[in-house]
Amino acid sequence: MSARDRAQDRRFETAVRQNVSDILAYLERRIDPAADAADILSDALFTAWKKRADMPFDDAALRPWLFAFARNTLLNARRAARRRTAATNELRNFLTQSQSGTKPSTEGAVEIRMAVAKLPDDHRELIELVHWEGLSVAEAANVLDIPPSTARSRYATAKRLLLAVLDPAGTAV
Amino acid sequence: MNDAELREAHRAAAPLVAPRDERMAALLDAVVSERVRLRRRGRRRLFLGVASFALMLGGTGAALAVPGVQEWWFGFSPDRTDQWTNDTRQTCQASYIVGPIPGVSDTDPAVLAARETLEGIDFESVAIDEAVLKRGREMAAEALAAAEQKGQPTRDMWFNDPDAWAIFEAIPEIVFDGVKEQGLDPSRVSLEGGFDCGGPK
Repeated sequence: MSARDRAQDRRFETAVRQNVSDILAYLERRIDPAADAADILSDALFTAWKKRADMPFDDAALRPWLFAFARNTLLNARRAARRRTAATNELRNFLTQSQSGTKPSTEGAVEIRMAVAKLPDDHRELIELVHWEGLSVAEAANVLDIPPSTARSRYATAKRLLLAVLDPAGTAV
Repeated sequence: MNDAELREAHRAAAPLVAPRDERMAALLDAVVSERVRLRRRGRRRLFLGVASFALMLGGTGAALAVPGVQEWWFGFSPDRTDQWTNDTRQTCQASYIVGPIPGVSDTDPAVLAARETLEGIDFESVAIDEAVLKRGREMAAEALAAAEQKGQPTRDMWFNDPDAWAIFEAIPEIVFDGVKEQGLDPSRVSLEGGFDCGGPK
């Protein structure tokens, strides 16, 4: 194992440790039951590890690069058999016991969720990445594998559509 | 409602996530440590003796271990072979053959995808699954105890190295995943593999 490989592995692990909690949150919000997020996280990390030679050189691009593995694993998540490790099982149990994945049920929350649910899927996914996960629009574009200009356009459209439902009186800025 | 208010309202409507406390931090650390490995195997390879497997990928990785059928690679051209010298200076070889199950063409897309995946595997970076490693250790311990009880020599037993066995067992799973990732049916593919070591000890 060369010094270069070791440096690459250290960089990969550092990036994973910095983002793993947020990646889990991303999965928790999109999986029912949320405990399944533990399995998807485990698979996504393993896949990312196998592909670590393709890590982007730019540190700022590592976060969306890792999120993309979570998203792709989520999309392919219905594998029949999944090997669970002890650590993944522990995390599953913890997520099961927590309120993970439940949705706040205030009147405003229900209204906005209904409005978001009416958005086209690609717009909804983009705006959730930006608002829920705190990614920039450019980072979300990387996760979704679309051009940043397309993401910017979709984001603007999504906001306009939401405001039309949530603020029909037109007080939007 | 302005953009910031919209963003905050939407953020507040997000499904809740589990608390990020010390317990969660410890659990995530365990998962990362298990799935993301800084250490690589380097050239530490200790396959001892002989092992081989033959399985149909539709059955996934469990149906391994058919020790004693290493003769399969005589008369066949393996799709992938890896050679090395182990710590006891034996020359070792691991080989794998991808083929169709009966009734399936050798040029079936799933078979071709399996060959392509096998060809692309970096053996030096194959990850060891802790669950497989644990099972390998248990198998090794049981087998060694049984051999010792019978007074049999244990030096050449292939399962003396659970680490190596875990890597060996990971190959079918990687090929299986590679075929699946291309949207093809792994159950149309068979994969045979074996390793053997010989020479000075």
